[in-house]
This record gives sequence, structure tokens and C-alpha cells, in this order.
Amino acid sequence: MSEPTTPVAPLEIRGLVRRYGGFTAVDNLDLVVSSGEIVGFLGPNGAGKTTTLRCCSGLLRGDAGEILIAGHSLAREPLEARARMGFVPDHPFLYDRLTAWEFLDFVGALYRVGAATARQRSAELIARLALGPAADDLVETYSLGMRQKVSIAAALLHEPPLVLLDEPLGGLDPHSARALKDLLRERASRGAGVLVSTHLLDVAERLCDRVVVLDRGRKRAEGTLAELRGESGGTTLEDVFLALTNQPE
Amino acid sequence: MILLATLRSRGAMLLHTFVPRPGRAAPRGAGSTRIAVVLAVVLAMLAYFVMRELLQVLAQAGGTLTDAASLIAVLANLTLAGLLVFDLHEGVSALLSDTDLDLLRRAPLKPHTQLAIKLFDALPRTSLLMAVLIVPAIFAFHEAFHLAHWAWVLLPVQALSMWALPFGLGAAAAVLMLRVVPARHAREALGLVSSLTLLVLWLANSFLLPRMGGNGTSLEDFRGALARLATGMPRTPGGWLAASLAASAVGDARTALVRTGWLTGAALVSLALVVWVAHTSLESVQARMVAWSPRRARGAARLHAWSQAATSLTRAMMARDIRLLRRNWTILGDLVTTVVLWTLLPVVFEPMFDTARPLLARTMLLALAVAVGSEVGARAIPLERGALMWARLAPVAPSRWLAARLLSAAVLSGGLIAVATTACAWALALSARDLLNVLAPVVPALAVALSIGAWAGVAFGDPQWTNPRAMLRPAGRIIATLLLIAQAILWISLASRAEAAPATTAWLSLAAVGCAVFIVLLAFADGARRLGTLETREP
Repeated sequence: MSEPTTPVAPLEIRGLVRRYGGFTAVDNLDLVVSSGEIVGFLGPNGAGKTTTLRCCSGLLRGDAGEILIAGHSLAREPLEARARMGFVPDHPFLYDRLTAWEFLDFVGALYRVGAATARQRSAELIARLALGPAADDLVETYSLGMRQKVSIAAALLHEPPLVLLDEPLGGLDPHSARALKDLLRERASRGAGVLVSTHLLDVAERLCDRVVVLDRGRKRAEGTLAELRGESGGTTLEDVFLALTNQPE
Repeated sequence: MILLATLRSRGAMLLHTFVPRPGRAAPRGAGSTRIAVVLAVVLAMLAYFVMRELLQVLAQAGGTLTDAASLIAVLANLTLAGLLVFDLHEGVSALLSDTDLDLLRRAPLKPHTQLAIKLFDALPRTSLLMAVLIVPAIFAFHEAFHLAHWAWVLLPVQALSMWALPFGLGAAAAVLMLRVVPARHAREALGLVSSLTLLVLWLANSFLLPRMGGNGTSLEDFRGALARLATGMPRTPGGWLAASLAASAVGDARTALVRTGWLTGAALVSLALVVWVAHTSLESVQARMVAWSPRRARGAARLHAWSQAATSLTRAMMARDIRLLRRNWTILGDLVTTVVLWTLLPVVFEPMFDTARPLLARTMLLALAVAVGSEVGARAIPLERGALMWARLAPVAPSRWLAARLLSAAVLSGGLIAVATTACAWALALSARDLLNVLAPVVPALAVALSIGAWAGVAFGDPQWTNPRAMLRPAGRIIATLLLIAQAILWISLASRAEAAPATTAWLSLAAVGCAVFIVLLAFADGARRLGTLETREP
């Protein structure tokens, strides 16, 4: 008799530690993002959110622990793991002297998306994110928000099972912010896992299924908003956040 | 008050670079800065010993104090030219594109205060040549001719004046130029001016100097050349410095002071010019640099059809590189300048050494292969700027990424060498057999130079580069230049040795190719390893 198979979690972090010199930015972090789930990653400045996301994306190496992307170890099978992930960094990594179209063509080739498919998906993402005719201009002429949109399109182009976003709403106008939230919801409804770091508590409250609060590199709390309210006695996510991150070391 | 606060903040930054706080990571680029300082000290010592030896040899050959002063004058003037070509862009970048300019522009600072702060910032970035050439030369001069004690008081004034003179003029000219150049072309314009200045100075020096020395290589010829050069030196900054040193050596304080006064006066005029230009134009130029008008990418459609057809990584990278190079045309301009200069190098020295045509062609092409391979290879990675992080994000092995970059670099440099080879073969009427002999060492030399260049690009690439002549960090620029010179000397010596002793050619060629393959593999493996462990550093 065969055992029932459980779907592989898009992201599984086990005991992640990352230090900068003697400073421990992430301290023994465990975290799972399941299929179809949007997880909010909250914490005060310097809590270790960006470091965690960069470790998960492969841009930084952890000093200890393991990261699995859709079941593939980032350390042992880096190419398989990276192919299954899209990352939107806080500062976009773009070629200033390519247009958005050219950049997305290039990213499509990096992820081995067929040329026609890449063009079709790029067109859809450019339309959804309202990049419009600016997509024919060089990236160096873009505002911060427009650069962020190109970065988001690049992360979603290969339809990865895991999407990591570091402060993705910075610089986005309300229409584009709404478009991004809709895009993330759609990706989650199709089975992708999403981990999004944000300072905007109302966004986390409305967008995320679950919230993880990080402070001084350690996980302070994890759960749905209702669960966190129960733990901390707060009425809003802001109350919960302040209560959790004001705790002494 | 403000200047004092600036000094304090710069002092703190310097302290953090060289003395990391316990338990904290060193600031970004601190390692490279430390390496640059160590290399600068090593180069300064080297310059000191070479200069000391040269002055001793000159003295033994009956050279006088005037001859030695002429030598110092030539060196000082060449250093000033070098400062204009290699370092001025750093100063202009400090004035116009430093990251703290937003803060300074918002602060209630008068233009001349802002200028003073940025001049102070530019000083360490632009004074390398002063530190590694002029200062050691003065110490070597003292060793040979014993400067008076009071001369050491003048030394800081002279050194600062030597720095301020070209820097003030150059910065003023750059700001004035950027008043008329469209803002979006500012970066290109600065790069282009740097490349053209290099071209003009190099050609002038290269054609002038060997011919002034006549056809011989004896010390008498050298002294003769110095004497001829000295006739044009007295009214130059280098000449004033040298005259002041010579006067200090014979205890003539009045002459030393007058010559230092001339030098300092010229530096003050130069600084006054840049202060005036800053007062009238700096704010508007800085504002223009910030405000861009969007532009559409020209020729995108033509390339699109070619790149869209393929999902191959190599093809996608080639298409991207063609676009990036076409739109960063000063890089291409700089490469073409390099091609011209290195190809001509053996030609300008040809009157001094009566050389057979095939040997001349081989020397020219070897010099070119090493230079172009190094220059193109070293730019291949920094050209990607911050987007290089896609090498870590995308599911592409670092070795494959680097191989694709090297392939693009090889296509570009191979094309440049093919053009130069055709020109050489035509101009020197080489036979097919001669041409094969000429090209035999050129191919491995290019492969080695490309791989070492790419390695330097990975190890020392500066993603924030503002000038195509400076896409590596300072330490990387020094190391890459030393490696380039070492390769050129090795390949040209090897080719000459094989020419002189034909019996050894076969095993020498075999050994050279074996070494070349080993070095290429080593540089590639370490480059790929570094690329695979590249990290973004913001905590």
C-alpha cells in the first residue's frame, strides 16, 4: 500500500544562520512556505528579513542550516533550486542600457523559457503592471517604481513555484500595487508559494495568509493574524507587531 | 565648521576601512582599498629604487645636477599628464555623481564650500600617481644630491600644487563641457575626453621621445635627449619643481622659493578657475546630471528578431552584449584607442632598433593581443554592473556564465586583431608564411590575456564605474596593469628568443602553449569560483 504523497513545500528553511563578521543577522531560523500560501515577512529595520530573502535567493550563503526550494537543496542542487524561484530584490538588478522588452527576453533565455512563450508572458506582465510604451525605453530612464515593475515581471516570467519579494511595493503607485497584489494572489491560487517582506502592516494584513515576525535575527512569532492576536492580546496587526518586537532580548 | 564636520566624517570612514570594528563586517570595498594602499607603497618603493639607480648611473656617466633636474622635470610633467588622463574622471565623478551629492545639494552650503568638500574627497582618489612617482623621485633625488633641511618644508606645498594644477584645470574644463553636452551623454563625454587625451598624449610622447634620443642607446644619447628635452621644461610645472629641487640641493633658498612660488601660483590660478566655474555652473550641471529625458532604444527591432529566435544562453548573451556595447559606445571608443596605441607601440620605437618586418609585425600584434585581450576581458564582467547578480539568481552555472562572457569578449577582441593583422600584412607586405609565423604566438597570447583579464574583472570589477577607463577598483587597475605589462614582456621576449635561436623554436613553442593552457584553465577556474561565490553585502 502506497503512502499518500504530500506536495513539496515551495520553500523550507531549516536552522538558517547568517553572520556578518561577529554580528548574527539571522539566527537559527526555521520557516516553511506551503503551496498556494502567501506568507508575510515582518520585522523592524535590521531584523534580518533582507538577509533571509537573499540567502533564500542564493545571493548570500548561509553560515549554517539548509534551504530547500521546491524540494531541491540550494546548496547541493543550486541550479535546480534557482530554476524554481523568482526573486524581487529591494534594489532591482537591471541592465540600464537595455529596454524592458530586451531585458525580459534575456531573462527568458536565462530560465530557458521558449522565445514565443517569453514574449507572450512579457506582454501580459507589461500590460498588467502598466509599463506600456515605456517598455521600449532604456531602463536607465525609468523611475524607481518602473524599475520595480520590470524586476517583478522578470521574477514572474518563468512562472516559478516560489516567489520571494523584498519590499516590493516601494515606489509603486496604487494601481500598480493593486496589480501586483492581484498577480501574487493568482500565482498562489495556481499553487505557488509567496514570501513577501514588507513594512506595510495593512498590506500584510489584507494580502497574507500567514505572517512571520522576525526580530534581531530570530523568529518571534508565526501564524495567521487570528492566532497572533490570540498570542499577544492585540487587536490589529500593528498592536501585535509592536508587542512582539518590543520584547527585551 | 562644516569643513570640520566633513573632515571628521571622512576620517571616520577611513578608520572603518583600515581598522574594522570588532564583531562587525568591514565596509564594502575595504579589502580592495587596503590592497591598493599596499600596492601603492610597493610601487612607490619600486619607483624610488629605479630612480635612485638611474640618478646614480647618470652621475657615474658624468651627469650634472642639471641633467638630474631635467629627468625630474620630465617625470613630473608626464605624471601631470597621467593624472589628467587616468585620474581626472575620478575627481569629476566626485563633483558630479557621488552618492552624497543629493545630501550636499540639499544642505545650506555655498557652491565653493561644496566644491571644497568634493575636492577633499577627490584628493585620495586622484593622487596615486603623485604618491608613487613624484614623491619617491624627490626622495631619490635627495639621496643623490642631498636637499637642504628647509627644502622638506616646501615639499608638501609642491606636491599639493602639482596635484591641484592639472586637477583644477581639468575639473573646470569638464564642468564647462558638461554645460553644453546633453546630460544623458555626460558619462560618455567624460570617457571620450579621457580616451582622446590619452591618445593625443601617448602619440606625442611616443613619437617624440624615441626620436629625441637618436638611434643609439648609450648613456651619452640619454643625456643628449635629456638636454634637448630640458630646453622646453623651465616654464612647465615639472620644470619649476625640478628647478626648486636643484636650487635646494645647492642651498639656494631664494631660487627654490621663487620656483615653488611659480608652481603654487599656477596651482592657485587653476583652483581659482575651478572655484569660479563651480560658482557659476556647478549647481546647474549637477541638476542637469540628475534630470534625464527618456530615450528610446535605437535599433532594438533589428536585433530583436535575431535574439528572439533563440533561447540559447550564449546567443542571448551575445545579443545583450552587442546592445550594451553599442549603447556604451565610449567603451568601444576606448578599446579602439587601445588598439591604435598598442599596435603602434613597436612602430614608434622602430627607429631605435632596426627590425625585420615580420618581427616588427609579430611584436605589434603580440602587444595588441595582450592589450586588447586584457582590456576587453577586464571589462566583460564590470560591463554588467549590478545586473551581474543574475549570475547568482538564474539557473546558470558560474562556469557557463563566464564562458559565455569570454566568448563574447573573444569575438570582439578577435575582430579587432583581425583588422590589425590585415592592416599589418598589407602595410608590411608579409607573405602567407610570414603571416602564419606571426600569428602563431598571437592566438595563445590573446587567450591568456582574455582569461586573466576576465579574472581581474570578476575579482576587482567595480559595478559603480563611471568611466570606461576605470571599470576596475584601484587595486584591480594596478594589478591588471602589472599583469598586462608582464605578459607583453614575456610574450615578446619569448618570440624574440625563438627568432634568435631557431633550433629551440619547437620545444619553446610547445612549452609556451602548455603554460598558456595551464594559465587559461587556472584563471578560468578561479574566475568561475569567484563568480559563484559573489555576494551582495547589505545586511
